Amino acid sequence: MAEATPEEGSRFTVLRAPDTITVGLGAALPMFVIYEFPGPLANVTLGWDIHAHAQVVASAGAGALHLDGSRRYHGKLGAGVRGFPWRRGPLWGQLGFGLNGYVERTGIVLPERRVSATDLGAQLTADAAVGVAVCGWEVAVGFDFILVPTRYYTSYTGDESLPNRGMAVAWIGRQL
Amino acid sequence: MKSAWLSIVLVAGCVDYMTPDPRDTLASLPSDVPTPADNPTTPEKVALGRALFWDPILSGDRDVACATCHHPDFAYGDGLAVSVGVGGRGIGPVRATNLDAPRTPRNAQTVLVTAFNGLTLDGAVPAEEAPMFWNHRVASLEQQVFGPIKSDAEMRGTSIPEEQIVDVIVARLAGIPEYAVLFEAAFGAEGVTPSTLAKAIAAFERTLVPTDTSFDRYMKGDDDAMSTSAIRGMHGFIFQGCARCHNGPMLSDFKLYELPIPATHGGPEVLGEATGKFRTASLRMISRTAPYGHNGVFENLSEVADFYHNIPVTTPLLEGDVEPPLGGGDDLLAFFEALSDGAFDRTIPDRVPSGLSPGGP
Repeated sequence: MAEATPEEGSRFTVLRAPDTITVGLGAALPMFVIYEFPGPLANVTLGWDIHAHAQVVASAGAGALHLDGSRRYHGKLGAGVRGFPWRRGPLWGQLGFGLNGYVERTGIVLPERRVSATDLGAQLTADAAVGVAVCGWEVAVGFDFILVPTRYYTSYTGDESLPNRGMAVAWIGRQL
Repeated sequence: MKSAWLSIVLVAGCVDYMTPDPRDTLASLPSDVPTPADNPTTPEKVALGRALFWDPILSGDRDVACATCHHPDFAYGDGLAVSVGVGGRGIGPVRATNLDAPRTPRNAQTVLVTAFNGLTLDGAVPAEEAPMFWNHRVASLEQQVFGPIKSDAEMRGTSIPEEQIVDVIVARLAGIPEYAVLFEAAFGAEGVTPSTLAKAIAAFERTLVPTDTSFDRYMKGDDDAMSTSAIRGMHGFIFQGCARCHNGPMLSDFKLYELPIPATHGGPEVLGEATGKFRTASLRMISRTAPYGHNGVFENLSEVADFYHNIPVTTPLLEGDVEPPLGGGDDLLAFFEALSDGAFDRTIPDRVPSGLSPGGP
């Protein structure tokens, strides 16, 4: 196999090992009216330096939400750009996009029968986050804005026609 | 890796079941319609009642029938915020175009499923005691018959005094040979009387029960009858507290409450009395019976959901935030549709014994 020229090699830069790997634990707070209860969240973020003040990041996360009679498990794959106002400074801000999928189980015990249903769905989101990283630890908060909602919100036309505008997230991460 | 996927599937497979308070549960409709001991339903009474229901001869000026405001094209309502009886023409919202016609103070409730009025989680009340009208001012379908007939705005008009209208109508009916035959077939020698008039119409109204809805079929064991969205809507409906009042087989506790229902759409027209105690509306056939509220102020179910979302918390009844449930309002609407998709009698007779136009001009 012929060796890649320098020009061809640059196309594969993104495939190199990440410069940073951060794992985090936190909470998801969906702005889904009924889900005003936070749920646990875990995520991992890979970063590749592309500039002294910027990284390309890819992330994956998963979480669960629970209320009486309903559980939702959600997962996210995302990508974006993280910027640092100061070179290697502690502060950072991030913009990106994500694909959020979920599976939800609903159950009710009524005198006549047990009611249950399973629902699957996915949403496309734009996300923004800010954080502080010190000594290998980071604290961050963010919000995933729903760009393309799942298949609901087609009939109802009231004030709350898009109550699920997104999901707030907060986490504490450790850089590996 | 395989075990990891298996773990995910097992975790996702867990269902957390909500067990509502026994007072907040829902149930399917029973198959047997409550009937008064002195008015068992017979085909002859139903045939007579159907003719009377559609015949404008029951109104003072022979221009309004029961079916005028309870028409099958509008799920036995009229599609109006508040009804237009005397002075109106046509069926449904077109009747509101005559601005000089008097408005009744309240929205015409559907006649569908009224045979089960009073049925709650505590069981059925005797048919003789079934609550009628928005404020439960009379009991039984038989007694309900005389309310619209005596009302000047609904059917009587102003040409005949209230205390005379029933006798006038009985005399009219007795003078029509075809009705004499129908009454004799239904009631024998009892003939045409106010009582047999009311019993015949009530007998017909007891047949206006839709076939099982998706909700009923699901509750009776058909796992495929309700969509996932409708089940999520039902969960949210109960979780958010709607079932505190809208419970049982009729999704009504048949109690009277005073809620801050607005009197207008925001414009100058006052739709009807805005205050007072009114019954918890049954949600049976709810998707087919817009507009909503005792004065019809809510044009669609989205507006109703928003009303409860934004309502000031003034009574313990409404403590807690009532909001459109899981997935926003669409799931709630899907649940309402599952309460409303039963088939019902849409027969419109070609003629009535009086020779007048069925349902009125």
